[in-house]
Amino acid sequence: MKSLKLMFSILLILAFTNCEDFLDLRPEGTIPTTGIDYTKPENIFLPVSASYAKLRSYGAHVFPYIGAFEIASDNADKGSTPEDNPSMKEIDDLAYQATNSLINDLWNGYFDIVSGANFAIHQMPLFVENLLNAADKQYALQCQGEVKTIRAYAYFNLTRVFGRVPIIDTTLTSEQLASVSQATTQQLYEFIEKDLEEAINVLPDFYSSEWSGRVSKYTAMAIKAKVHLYQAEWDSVASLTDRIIASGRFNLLNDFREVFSIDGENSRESLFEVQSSTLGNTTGPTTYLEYAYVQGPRGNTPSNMQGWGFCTPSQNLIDFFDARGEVIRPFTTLLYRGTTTPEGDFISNSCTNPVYNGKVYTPSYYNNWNFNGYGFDHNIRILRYADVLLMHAEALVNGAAVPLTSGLTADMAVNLVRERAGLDPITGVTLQDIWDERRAELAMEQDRFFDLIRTGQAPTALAHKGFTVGKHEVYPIPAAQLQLNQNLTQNQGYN
Amino acid sequence: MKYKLTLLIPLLILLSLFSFSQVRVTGTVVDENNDPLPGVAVVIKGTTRGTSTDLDGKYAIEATAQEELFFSMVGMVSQTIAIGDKTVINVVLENETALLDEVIVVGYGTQRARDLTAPIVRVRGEDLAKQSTSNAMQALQGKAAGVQVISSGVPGRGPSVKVRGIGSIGDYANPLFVVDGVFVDNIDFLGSADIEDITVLKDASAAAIYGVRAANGVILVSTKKGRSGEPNVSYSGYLGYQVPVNIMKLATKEQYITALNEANANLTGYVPRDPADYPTSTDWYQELVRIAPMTNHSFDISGSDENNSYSFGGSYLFQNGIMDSKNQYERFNLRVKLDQDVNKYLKVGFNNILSRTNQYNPNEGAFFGAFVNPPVYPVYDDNNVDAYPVRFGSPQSFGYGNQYGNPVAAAYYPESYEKGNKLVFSAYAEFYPIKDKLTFKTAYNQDITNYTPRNYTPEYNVGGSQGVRSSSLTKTSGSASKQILDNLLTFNNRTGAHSFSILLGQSTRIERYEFLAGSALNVPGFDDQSKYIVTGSFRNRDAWDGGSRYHGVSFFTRGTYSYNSKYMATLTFRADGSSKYQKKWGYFPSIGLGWDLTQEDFMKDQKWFSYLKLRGSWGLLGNDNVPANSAVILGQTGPGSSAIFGNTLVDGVGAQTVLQNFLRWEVVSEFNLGVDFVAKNTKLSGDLDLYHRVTNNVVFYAPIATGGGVAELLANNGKVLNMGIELMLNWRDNITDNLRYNISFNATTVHNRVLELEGRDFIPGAYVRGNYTTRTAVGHPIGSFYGYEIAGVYASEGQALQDPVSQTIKDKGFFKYKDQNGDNIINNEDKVYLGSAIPWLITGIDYGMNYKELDFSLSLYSQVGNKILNAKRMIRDVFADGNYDQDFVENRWTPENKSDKYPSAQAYNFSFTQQANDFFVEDGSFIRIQNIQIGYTTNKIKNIQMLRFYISAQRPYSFFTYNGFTPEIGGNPISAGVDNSIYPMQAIYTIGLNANF
Repeated sequence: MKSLKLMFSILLILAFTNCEDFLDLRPEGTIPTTGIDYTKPENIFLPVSASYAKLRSYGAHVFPYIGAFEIASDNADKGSTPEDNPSMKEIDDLAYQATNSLINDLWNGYFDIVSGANFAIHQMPLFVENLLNAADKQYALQCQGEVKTIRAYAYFNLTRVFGRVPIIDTTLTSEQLASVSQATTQQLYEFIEKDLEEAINVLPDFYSSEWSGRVSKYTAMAIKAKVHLYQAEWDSVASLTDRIIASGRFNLLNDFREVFSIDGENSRESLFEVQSSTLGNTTGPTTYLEYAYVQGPRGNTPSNMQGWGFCTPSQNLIDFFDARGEVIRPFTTLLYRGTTTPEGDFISNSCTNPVYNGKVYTPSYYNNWNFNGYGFDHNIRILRYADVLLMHAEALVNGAAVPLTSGLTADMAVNLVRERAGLDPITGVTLQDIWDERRAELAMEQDRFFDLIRTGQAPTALAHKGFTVGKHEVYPIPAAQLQLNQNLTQNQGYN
Repeated sequence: MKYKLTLLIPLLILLSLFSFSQVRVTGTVVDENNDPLPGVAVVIKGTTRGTSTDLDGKYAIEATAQEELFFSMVGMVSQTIAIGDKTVINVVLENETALLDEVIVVGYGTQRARDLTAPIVRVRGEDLAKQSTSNAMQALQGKAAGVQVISSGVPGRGPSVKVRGIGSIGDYANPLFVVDGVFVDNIDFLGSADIEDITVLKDASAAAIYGVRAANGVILVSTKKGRSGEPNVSYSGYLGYQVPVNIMKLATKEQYITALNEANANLTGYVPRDPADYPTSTDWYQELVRIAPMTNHSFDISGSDENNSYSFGGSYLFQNGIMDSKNQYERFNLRVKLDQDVNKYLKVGFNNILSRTNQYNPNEGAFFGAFVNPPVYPVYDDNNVDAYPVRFGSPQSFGYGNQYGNPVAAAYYPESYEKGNKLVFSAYAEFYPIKDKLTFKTAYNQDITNYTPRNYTPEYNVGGSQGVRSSSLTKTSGSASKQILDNLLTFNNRTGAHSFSILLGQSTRIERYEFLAGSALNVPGFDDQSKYIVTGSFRNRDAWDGGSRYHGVSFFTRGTYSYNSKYMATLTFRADGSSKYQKKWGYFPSIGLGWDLTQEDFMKDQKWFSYLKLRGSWGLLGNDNVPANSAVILGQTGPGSSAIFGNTLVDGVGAQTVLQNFLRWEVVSEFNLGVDFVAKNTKLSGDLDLYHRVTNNVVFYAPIATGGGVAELLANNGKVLNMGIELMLNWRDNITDNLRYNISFNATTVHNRVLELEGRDFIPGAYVRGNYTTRTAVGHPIGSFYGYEIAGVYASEGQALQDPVSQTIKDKGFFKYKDQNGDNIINNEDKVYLGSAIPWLITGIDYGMNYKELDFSLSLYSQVGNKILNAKRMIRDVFADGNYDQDFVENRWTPENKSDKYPSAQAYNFSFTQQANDFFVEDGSFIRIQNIQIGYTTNKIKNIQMLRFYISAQRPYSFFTYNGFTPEIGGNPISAGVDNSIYPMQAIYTIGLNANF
């Protein structure tokens, strides 16, 4: 029995040595997020960068996006072949159900951006706490404002699309996520405005050129102006647009076509773009969006000039341009088959649809991603100066009474836009003038559908699609989301 | 094939080493009561030379000293005795119930079958080797009650195995495999012929000793080992062909265009298509399959003497894939096992299994492509001038969208090659401080796997998005190792009628996995020698790596007690620590009791049973075969987490914003009640078990509400019950001395229910086209399909309008969904549970017959009640102008053929139709002829003790109604049984031979 005792004690000693350390392992090849070194200023941008990366989202900015924001409007048709993609056809016809997968993709896409922003927003105070240099602390706060702008932008789109969504602004448990209730549209706009106000206070006026495309103070202002525009808060709109205009940092490019070219990305006209790039590669990691690709000419040749052919300009839009006697804007907005572009691409007669979205047209010499990478380097223009000018005008026409630094009147603002479009100036602009100008200027840029809702034009403009007042102003809460969070309630008209 | 036969040559050389001379052997055969046994067959093993005993049990026979005598009689256990220099051999044949004295391998030891308190199934290797399957577990299908094997047709891919229903979730519901003491994830690296036997431990009391990996059952595999007596040299091998079976029929060009025109007739702008505009009618499935060869060769040399035993064996398997592209599997194994008694106090041994594999994996996605691609364009098309290097036909040449791509090209271009090396090594030392009473054993086991996948895609173009401008190569070098150090102290004692044992044990586990991968572009694809990263462009080279590490520590004890093998008890207790959980330690007891009724006085006079034992057990088992959970939120890096400014990526670190869950041990609590019996006539024997197992804190990834940056999270999600009956019956009989047969039958029922979901009502699963199609809900099986029941199809618009029940679309040819709650509105409240992928009954039947030198066997297997979601039909939102399967086209609703089950082609395209409903949820029940075999055995060939030729058909025929290749669809339990199109199954026709020298 002595040997037994001896053996047993050896065994126990062996086994219990550092047992708890032995069982406490972090996964290999990872860093704990709390393990970011907050004392190093060069790390500040890490979470911010990841937050920007979330904007490159199929759900938020590619196929579902062109559907809910443009195809549903009077500007565009579904496109492609008639039988292709019934889910998109449902959106075109305003005949979608809560089960429509594209609508669920939108929800997931924007909430993913919200989550990425929340992470970065809550990382910044840790840098402020740990950094010693005051300038570095200030930079962390500035970055926080940058990301709050991104969060506000995502919530603005969520609010426009769904009307009522939950406000999630921090890290939660999965139980909390599954039980959070929807905020009202009013509460959502308050939340968005607060984020943007805080951002405006800390963001810089501009960045050096290697950071082109970063969110500046004026990006936040322009988004905020649009948020107020959607609430008809004209004074707020005007004071923001006035500051942007008065800053002198922005102007319209002379050539309308250049605005939508690869060279025209992040230009002086740009306030916010989602960056998409193949980084000059022919294959490799996916750092691009297929935003232009899904709208590219279907059945075109060669294959790097070919896309899915969705979101085609409608006859209604073409007639609208014709009635206004426009030349410059339709030439860029409408890409007809059987024509040759100024950049030298012949759009084949064998294309499925007669006309495609010309604003995403990307010349063949930019399309080097495999054989079929049409427009992968095309950024999405979210907000540009022309929009700011038209918002300014609309606020003033609606009686905004704020002192103007820029001195730009409604007529002047509208005429700046018209002048570039080769149109004669007008005086005494009316609301309808501005709305029509918005349509002509921003057609196919995913502004139209919610502009129709906002301005109350939808019931007439979309009557042919069976627009129902009290229902189609917002999309249904996706059926899948109602399964995951049973405290969500369906929007009116979709039960 | 030539070089495979070279394996035979050394065996033939060995043959010539034997020589013989004849002697006369006599003796008497008696039973346990010393009564003479007349009519016992006495045969020289491996020959037909033989005699039988007379009325006094006496026999006489001529034989050589090297031969063995084989004594057999119905109801008695056969015996083989080597002759050697003996001339008188007297034999006591034991009653067949003595089989119960057979020693069964249980966890960390052995036990006599008679003393077991747990349900244990043992399947002999030779019964597995009879089947021509590349994987031994595949051969176990239908052989063991309580074990469900879901097979795959992909060469080299092992089946998924479930013991007693589904408790855990995901791949983690697999049982633990223990090969000669080494924990492994599967036994894909072994051939059936390498295996001596497989023992399945099913209940908590038996499996408890394996603790942390045993919650889903334990499959103990013993490889062949040396037996006392003459060395045994054997060979077995077969050659065969695999024929694809149950290949679904797709619509022809004419059928397709007719249905497509019907579907879109009402669509503005649709121009009806004309079959004459398309050059061909391609059957994409038939273009993708082929008849493929398969062969296997195995040998074993083993023996033992007083102080040592050895076994040396190997096998070679080659299986070509039935997909008509480069896909194949090749496996070469070598085994060496040696046990040595060093002295009275010490024994050492080691076991080495080396396995090398080479495989080309198929692009299984091509089968989905074949299902959806329109049949109207050719496989090859000389007019498609953009295509290179092969002029494949392109759907884009015929106006189709980029979601379509030539399936044959998809199977042809990407090459996925994988090399693997596996070494399963174990060594032990046993020390006997008190001989036959006290044993200390220390054992070190290691399972090391190296694998090197190489994926190469040449530069090619077909059309649309099917093509790459640069060739690309990705290589991975991965290694996984599992190390286990066991220390065991066993004490055995027997005093009078009492025998008991105590085991104290401790086990330490370290599992590591690491890989390093790199990629390059523009790698020339001349041959294997050129497929290196260094031959590619030095630009765009990329490298990445990853790994995992788990630790575990366990302390355990087991006590067994037996009173005269009449009353038995087994008690175990374990303490397990695992790095995968946040609550590190779990404590798990179990108890098992047995009672042999036939030894009781009151059973003396009954004439039904010669053996009847009652068993009962209860136990808790912790499962750490779950994904590791991290308490901290981890950073995400890489291009997907990096912003772009001015065409440059800027490093980023992202993370989820939902807290990780605190993970507790998943614990199985199991009751088992069982009976083992042998009938008085000894022809019938069997086992019956009732099991009831509840998995608590079941761990799996469940979808979570949006907003945290991740779609699903690992959590303890609730409680799941599996209960059922397992029955095994064996009948063996002799019709004449020459004609013997046996039938065995086994059946398992599974009743699976979710009991609790941590307060949630249900967890949705199986996301198909934007919507969840299953619900794991309290009171229903895991992953039950959830959707509408179809009450019919509207025959006319008028009929639809008259129907008081409103639904989103009401028109002719559309489904009329059943209004379950009678409120005249079809909405979410009318969705019902439509069954799950879990069959409620699994049965297997084996029939075997021997007549003189001929033998015949037949195995049947069936599953009843499993449902399949035919998700490959639910794709018409994206593939609206894709092909149809022939079943749909032939039965679709048309004004002329008003089906009440199938929608019209028009309705079929609507998302209203394309959602989970009982049109898409189909019955997956099937019955299959698993194997038919006819063999001929001879021993008339000089120097060959036994030679058997056979022809066999594996899975020649399956009967099922499901519209797919096979009703065996696996998957993560909360979304199992979703068929998105898979690799088809094959029948295998072989000729083979077995030889003993």
